[in-house]
Amino acid sequence: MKKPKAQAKPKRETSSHFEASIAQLSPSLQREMQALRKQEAKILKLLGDPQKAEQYLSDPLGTLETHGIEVPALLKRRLQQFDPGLAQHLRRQTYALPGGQTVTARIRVRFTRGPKEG
Amino acid sequence: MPGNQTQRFDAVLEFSEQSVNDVLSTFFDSSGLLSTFLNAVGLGSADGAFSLDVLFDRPGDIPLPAGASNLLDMRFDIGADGGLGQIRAVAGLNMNRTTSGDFDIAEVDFRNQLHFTGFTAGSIPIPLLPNLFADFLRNQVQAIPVVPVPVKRNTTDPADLPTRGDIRVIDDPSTADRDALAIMLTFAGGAAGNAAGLQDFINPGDTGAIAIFFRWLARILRLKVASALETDEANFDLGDDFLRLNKTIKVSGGGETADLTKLELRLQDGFIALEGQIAKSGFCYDASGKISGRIRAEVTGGELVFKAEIDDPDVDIDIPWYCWLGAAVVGAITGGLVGVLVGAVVGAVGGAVVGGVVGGVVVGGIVGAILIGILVPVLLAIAENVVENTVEGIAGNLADKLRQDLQVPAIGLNLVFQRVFIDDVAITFDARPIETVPIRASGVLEVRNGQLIDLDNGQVGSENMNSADLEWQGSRFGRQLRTRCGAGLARAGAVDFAGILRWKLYPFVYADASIPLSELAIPLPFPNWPFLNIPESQKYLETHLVYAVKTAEGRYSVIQVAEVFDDRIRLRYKTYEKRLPSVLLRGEFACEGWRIPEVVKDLEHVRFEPIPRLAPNLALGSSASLQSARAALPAKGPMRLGRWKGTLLRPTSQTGHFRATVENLGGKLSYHWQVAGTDLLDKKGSLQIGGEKASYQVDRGHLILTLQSRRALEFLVRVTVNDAAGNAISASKCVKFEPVCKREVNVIPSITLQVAAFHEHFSVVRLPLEPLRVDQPTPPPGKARSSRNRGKA
Repeated sequence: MKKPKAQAKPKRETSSHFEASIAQLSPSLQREMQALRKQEAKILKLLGDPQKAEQYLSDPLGTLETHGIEVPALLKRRLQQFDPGLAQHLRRQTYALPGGQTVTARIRVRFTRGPKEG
Repeated sequence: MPGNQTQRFDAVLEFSEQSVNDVLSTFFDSSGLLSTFLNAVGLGSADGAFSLDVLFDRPGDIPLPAGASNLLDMRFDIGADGGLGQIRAVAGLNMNRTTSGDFDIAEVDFRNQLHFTGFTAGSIPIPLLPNLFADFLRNQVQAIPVVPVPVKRNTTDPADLPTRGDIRVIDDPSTADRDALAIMLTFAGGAAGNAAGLQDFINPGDTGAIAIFFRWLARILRLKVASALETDEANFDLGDDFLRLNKTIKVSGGGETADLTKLELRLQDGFIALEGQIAKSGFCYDASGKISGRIRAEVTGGELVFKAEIDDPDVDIDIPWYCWLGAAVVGAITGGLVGVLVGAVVGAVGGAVVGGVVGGVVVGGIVGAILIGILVPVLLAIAENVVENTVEGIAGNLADKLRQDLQVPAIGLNLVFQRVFIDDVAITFDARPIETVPIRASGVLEVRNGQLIDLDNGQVGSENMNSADLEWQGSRFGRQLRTRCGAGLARAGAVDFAGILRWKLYPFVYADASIPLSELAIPLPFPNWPFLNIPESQKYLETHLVYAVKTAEGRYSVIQVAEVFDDRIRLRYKTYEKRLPSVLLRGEFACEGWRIPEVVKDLEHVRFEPIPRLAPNLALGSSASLQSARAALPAKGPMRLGRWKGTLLRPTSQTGHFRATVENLGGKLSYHWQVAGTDLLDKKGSLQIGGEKASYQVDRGHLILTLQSRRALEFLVRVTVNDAAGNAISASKCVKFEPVCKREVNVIPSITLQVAAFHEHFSVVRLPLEPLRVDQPTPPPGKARSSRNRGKA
């Protein structure tokens, strides 16, 4: 009798991670995110530039459109309402330590494809 | 350079020429041996007074055996003014490895290495006396123990007693003439270094220093840091100049857990570099934080204090592009209130959608709770607790052992730490010999204007006193301290009252003298202006100068005006007894000493003594201004978390050592010991003390008493010393044996406990946000980057 294969450990794949990330958006928004994802290579190339990445943090729609990435209509409308204040939270943070010393965290954000397959 | 100062010995103690001079002077003065010799050769008029100069330079004016090494050239001036003659002895220092194996004793070896003796009056050599002096040194003095090193030959613990001590006299042939005596220590796992390469590393002005080879420190730290992080010591690699984590381990604190991916301590010039790296991943982010810093050390109030300076942290956050877009969409759905409604968004709408990617969560979580909340306290805990307590334990243990002088007949030394340098880790100290000479009277006297002082009896009174040595006469700014009744006074040129030992008083020229108030204290210009509200004790700024006095009755005394008031002074004084035959009995059942602080996993018997620095409302995440944070800091004081203290209960040693020090009783002496009413008639035997069995060993002035039970006892030990002429002197001591001794000690809690205490008592304050900037990639290593974190409150 053929020995059954050991059940594979579930892996967090790029596609499943993407889908899980948008699972609770409305079906229309999910479809549009799927559509936008077809331009992922272009988006990642764009965001590889730190300056562009900075713009993307505070104005994702403007950054994408300026560089010729077409954003579907419903997604576009939602992103037009984006509050740039969200990016405020990725500002440099300064802390006072107990010794009276202050340190400022240098935060570097990189946008990635998502978790790698395998 | 690591190992430069220690030449790869695990630890090296160095003593300056002056320090050895002080030890030998105290030995010759305390023992009365020199006085005995002088009396025997007809120089009794010296009254035991002498001054000694010890040189480490190899003498070029006398023939020496080719192999003679580690030489001391001792030159005595005899008599108070040195006018009775000069004695010289050149002898070698030797490390005496005792047969019991408990001590390696650095000693001046007169038995086998006395190379020269000389005696001159003026420039005229006196025949015969050099031979008599040589006989006296070889047969009566035999050896002078300078530094006893307690050893444990077979231990495998690098934090236990040294396995071996070695000695070297550093004779610097250069014009700088930086000579020193080095005692080199080797601990378990270490090896002897290059003694010939040792150089003087004592800071000018200090009398000694301890240097710790970083590799030995790392050997001990590896155990402590691993234990504190609750991991295996094999997870750390060490070298001559580093200790580093070699695998990723979990650390937690403040309710968070993260991976500690890097931890390294590395010796640099003047500090120990500290680097830590931490990683944390969530559904929509992978973050890593890196913090580097420096551990510096200083001595504050005689205590070693290690402080960490932390550089600006670097945080890298990787976010999938679509996660950020999802967060942006969610933010739009909730009307742009993401920042405020982070919790609601994540819970009600986002869930797995944004999964913690929303900016506030990522930054607050990674930078605050994880990086600042875990990595910073971990690094501070390692620097300010683990490293500090370990180094302090090493230095403290060495200092403790140098204080002891009961098991071996050495002159005890009090080490007062002065400064610490990191290159290896070197701690300079002031070594003060502990003298055991009879003191007639000492204390602090309150002397009103116009009163007289009798330093022989510590009495203060009016003109009606029978005898007086000093008078505090005059009024207001015209007051002065002047000698009376034939007493003489000399300016000692020092302010350290405790540093004046009896033999230091001999060479002064004593004469009638007056000391004006202006020399003793500077009055404040307007002390009585009511709005200044100056307390009485602060109207004068005392100089604290020390004066030597020879009393009207011929005793040596040392005085210091400690405080000046409008109507009186407070005078500190110590008057030595005349050279009468006397015996001093010292001894105890000691608490076992050598111990490096241990790592504890619970705080049940540990007390944390925090040093308050931030107001309670200024906690992590609270938005406070830097100014208010700084305002909450104390104006001065050590800027550190605090210390964990525990009460250490240890069994008291059942063996007690007792020593009788005889002064001014010459010739062949016999010692008769009595314990709890029982005469100890043999060299060894047994007895009953309070119904309990005990055994004893007697070696002239040294009694070793071993109790067979651990029951608390109190009994009298008495020694009577007779000379050949039938003169007898005795001394008694009430001795207490408590089965357990308690010591308040520092402990090292596990890092988890330390981080928890950090958050409970201090935490960090998040200051207002600055404009966003996405940094360019980190500059290549070696390229300096600006840091804005040097400011201290």
